[in-house]
Amino acid sequence: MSYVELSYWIPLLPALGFALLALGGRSFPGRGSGWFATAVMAVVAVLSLGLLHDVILAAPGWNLAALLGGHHEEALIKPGSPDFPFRLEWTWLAIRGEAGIPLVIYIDSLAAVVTAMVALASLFIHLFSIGYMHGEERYPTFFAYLQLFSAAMLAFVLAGNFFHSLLAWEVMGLMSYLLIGFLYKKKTAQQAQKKAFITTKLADLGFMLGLFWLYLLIGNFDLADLGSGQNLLAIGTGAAAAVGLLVFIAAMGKSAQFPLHVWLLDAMEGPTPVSAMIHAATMVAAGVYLTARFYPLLLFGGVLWVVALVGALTALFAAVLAPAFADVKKILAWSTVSQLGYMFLGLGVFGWAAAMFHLVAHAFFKALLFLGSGSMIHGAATQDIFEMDRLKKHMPWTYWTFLVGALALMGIPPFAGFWSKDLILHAAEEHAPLLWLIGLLAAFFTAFYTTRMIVIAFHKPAMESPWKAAEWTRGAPWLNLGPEEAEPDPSPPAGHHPHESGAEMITALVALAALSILVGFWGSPIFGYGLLTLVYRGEMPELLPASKLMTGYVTGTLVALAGAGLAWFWYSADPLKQRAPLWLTAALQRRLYIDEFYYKVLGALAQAPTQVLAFIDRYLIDGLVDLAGYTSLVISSLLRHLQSGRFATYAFYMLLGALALYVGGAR
Amino acid sequence: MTLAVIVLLAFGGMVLALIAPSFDERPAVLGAISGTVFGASLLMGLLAAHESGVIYGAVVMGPLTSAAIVLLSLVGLLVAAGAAIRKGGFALGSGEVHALVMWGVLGGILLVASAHLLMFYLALELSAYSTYVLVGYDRDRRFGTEAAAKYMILGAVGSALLLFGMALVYTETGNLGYTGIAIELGGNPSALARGGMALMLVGLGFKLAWVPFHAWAPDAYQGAFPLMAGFLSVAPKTALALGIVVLLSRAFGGSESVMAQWIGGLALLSVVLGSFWALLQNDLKRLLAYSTIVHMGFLGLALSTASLTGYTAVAYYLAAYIVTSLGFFFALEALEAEGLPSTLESWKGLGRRNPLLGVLLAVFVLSLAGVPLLAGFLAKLYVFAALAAAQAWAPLVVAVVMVVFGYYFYFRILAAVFLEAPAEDSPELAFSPTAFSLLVLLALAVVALGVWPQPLLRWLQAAVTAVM
Repeated sequence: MSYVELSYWIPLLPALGFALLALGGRSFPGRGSGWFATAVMAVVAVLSLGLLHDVILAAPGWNLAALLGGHHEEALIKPGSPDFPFRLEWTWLAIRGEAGIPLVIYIDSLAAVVTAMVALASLFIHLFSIGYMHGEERYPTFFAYLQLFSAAMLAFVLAGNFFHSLLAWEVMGLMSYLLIGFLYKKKTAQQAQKKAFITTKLADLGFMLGLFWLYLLIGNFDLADLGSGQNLLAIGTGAAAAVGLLVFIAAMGKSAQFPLHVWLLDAMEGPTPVSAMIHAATMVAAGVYLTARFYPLLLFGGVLWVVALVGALTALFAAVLAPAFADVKKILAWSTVSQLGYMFLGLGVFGWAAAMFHLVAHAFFKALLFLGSGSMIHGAATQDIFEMDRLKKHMPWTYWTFLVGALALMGIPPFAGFWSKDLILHAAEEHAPLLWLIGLLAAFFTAFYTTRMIVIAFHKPAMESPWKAAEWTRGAPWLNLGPEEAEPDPSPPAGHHPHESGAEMITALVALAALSILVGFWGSPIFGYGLLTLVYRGEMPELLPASKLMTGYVTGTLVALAGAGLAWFWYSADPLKQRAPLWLTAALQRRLYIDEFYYKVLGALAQAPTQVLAFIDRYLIDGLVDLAGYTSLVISSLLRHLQSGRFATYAFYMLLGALALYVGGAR
Repeated sequence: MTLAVIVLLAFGGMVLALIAPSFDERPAVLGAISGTVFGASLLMGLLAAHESGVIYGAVVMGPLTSAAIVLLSLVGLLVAAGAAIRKGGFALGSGEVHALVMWGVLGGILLVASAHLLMFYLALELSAYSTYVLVGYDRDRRFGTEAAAKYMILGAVGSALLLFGMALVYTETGNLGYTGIAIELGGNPSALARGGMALMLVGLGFKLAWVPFHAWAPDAYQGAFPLMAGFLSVAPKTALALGIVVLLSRAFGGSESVMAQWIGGLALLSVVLGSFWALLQNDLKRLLAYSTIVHMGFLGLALSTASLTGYTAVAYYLAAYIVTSLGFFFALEALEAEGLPSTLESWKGLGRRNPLLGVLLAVFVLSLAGVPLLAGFLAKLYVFAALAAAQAWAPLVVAVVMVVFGYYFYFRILAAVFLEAPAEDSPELAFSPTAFSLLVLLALAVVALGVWPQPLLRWLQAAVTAVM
């Protein structure tokens, strides 16, 4: 029994776990439901690692030197095993030998790598939540949601049929909605969950339109066949571009790319493990994964530059906004938006494998950072970095693991982000120098805001948060909250002393720190770009441009050091000194007014036609519906008289019927 | 194996009837015996799939017979289990109930297996007589005896017309065997033969409750124990529908035949009028009777295409209808046993008094209405697919519109169960564990068939292909 044959258990187990927790979660004593869910994820993690092992054995081998030169025709040194990529298939919704929509599990290298990534990240986030969510009223429900979310994400990654990808994608959207609003008594959480749902749902329309258009063109939803020459020929350049872009819109929504990034900041209303899992490590990565799967269409349609442009702009935009925030989760949320931008940039400049490397590396170090922030919040009882009191002294484990994540994010060698981000920048330098400069600038800001966060939260004593009283940060005008509901987040109660978190939480942090270092090395040139060559597919134009690799690494490091140095220099001297003009800070903190613009202008635009439609619906359509219903009831009450209860009448009907048939028959 | 099943069921029924008086105090024993016999016949039915050949020129062995044995034995098994819901058994003793159910099932199996009109008629009567008695079994029930009398007299009229029709067909063809009839009729039956077929259709339509031969159904359902109404709604229907599949494909020739066209007409009439009648019903068993009429209409539409797709749709529809309808009638039986009459009025707020029961009822009602992910949805979908494949656009459009009517009268049940508040003084609703486990089992089956129909569909299609 190979792990490939067992692979359907990978999404199935957490789905069953969800059913069990949803029905009987309350019967577990104490933290039992949390430990149960974590045990399920541990089994899933073992299965996915086994699957990854099988895939590594079966995958084709490449000659690195030839690949780097771009000659992938000669680069193949070991053909993959004949049944690779693995495919498990069951018929579904078929009648009389028609194809229906087969249930397919499709396992190529990318699917196996991302499955392992999701399973491991999810496992440690489950483990962390056991302690973090302790004392929560709906403790079992939380784990039930996490389980179903993991099931949906794993199903999405393994699905070999875009129809089922869509189903899993929508379940993830629903779970995101439910988990953002998990603390549903908070008005802000309610508003945030609606905002996230509406934004992503609008984007999802693109997925559906693209998918159904695709179906009209080629008549199936098969993922593996999408890039085949015959299919591309049937689709044509124009349609390929249109379908690719429609799907990319959905990916932009899910992965919070400008201008659909607005929901991710508010999504931080969910509990921190949720932010780590859904809004950093896995679900937001689904957009990148989907784009990677539609890569052949985007390439064939010649619209990769759109992906690259959106990615680069988002990377810079989010990195510039991040330094203006004081809430540790919001800083990390901007950082997520920015890093996802890098991945799209990588996809857009032919750095397909590099982008996938960054996807995996980012998942681990961002989960680590978010869980670290959860530990900080847990210990310091505030989300405001200014109010955190020398956490390095009080929470050494959290500090050192957080530092590993932060260095990875900044791109300091030899941590994960250094290996992955610099490869993306390197590909950009080769194919789109302007976007490369944008990316470098974003890297500078990344190092800057990360260092600022660390210096203020971990090294400095607690101080009055500078913007807490500022008029423009109070509440959120775009969330339509009344003044009494828009209180700023609470400060820690007087006399609170920061303390280190419990053993499960520390274990999760250490494990993720180790994983994020390891995965960085796996994709580094030291190990022959192992991860990149594994996911590389022959039909991609290139693995990496060969030239000037060393220069790229040096430039990236220098830029990151410069950003980190500036932040260190400024904030260790005087964290509270106002260095940017006040109007600029205000504009940045109000997210450049984009959310307000959407709320006011798009809201009004959407409402005008709605009024008209509402009128038509209420008076015209409802009237017709009522009329139809009324007529039916009248007919029904008339027909009732036929059913007299007298059997002579009934026999008469039968004879009448016989006569009618007989006359008809003798005709 | 087929022969063994026939013998087993015939003698099983006799033994049950003979020992019944000694077990009046312990009805569970009889239920267990009956269940064991049906379980055995179900297994033997599965084994019979590979048989072939004809016994005495009248009983065909083969995959379709095997499928009929399995489906009808399943019904028998479920009804035997469902009899345990009512503690203390039935008013006049339970042994006879089990015996009659067993003979009813036997008649149904023979009906499908038959290759000869005489056999067909005998099987039909065997199954019909058991149901006449079962409907009127509870003498103390207000409508029981009246309903049984009406049902039997009308049934006699139907049988007479059926027999007359057979006689006319015999006059014209000189044959009672299906193969002989098919050869003699050829492509273009004479006027006399057509008349005979028309009269036969009245008898068949009566059992399937197609409009205008349906009028007995609401009274019979209302008068019977809900369990027996449930049996009535699935067992004779399953037998008749599969029997008509055999008749159409072996004797009365294919999709071009007038018989298939008449069936289409009757079916459409049933779907439309049945839906209208159902709109204003307040008695749940009457409502379910009209619902059966509508469902048999959908089934008839698939039959009228006389294609492999259509017949597969018929078979799947029957399987889906067995689990859904029996589930709903079991719930009725359990609630009546707790003293809750089967009216919309008394079901108000049921979902609040017992949420788990509410969810189970919702599964069955939604499946009857045809909501996706449940068996009833796929059943209708396959019927529509068959109609589309036969390019019968007009019936397809009408049928789809009538599904909306279905939503109205089914959702009235759900609205009463979930949206209305229970009466002030309603006591805690007790519910027997037997009933609960049966309902959960059937609800799981409804969901399983709706989500993963493939294995069943493949099996049914193989069975149906054998008669084409």
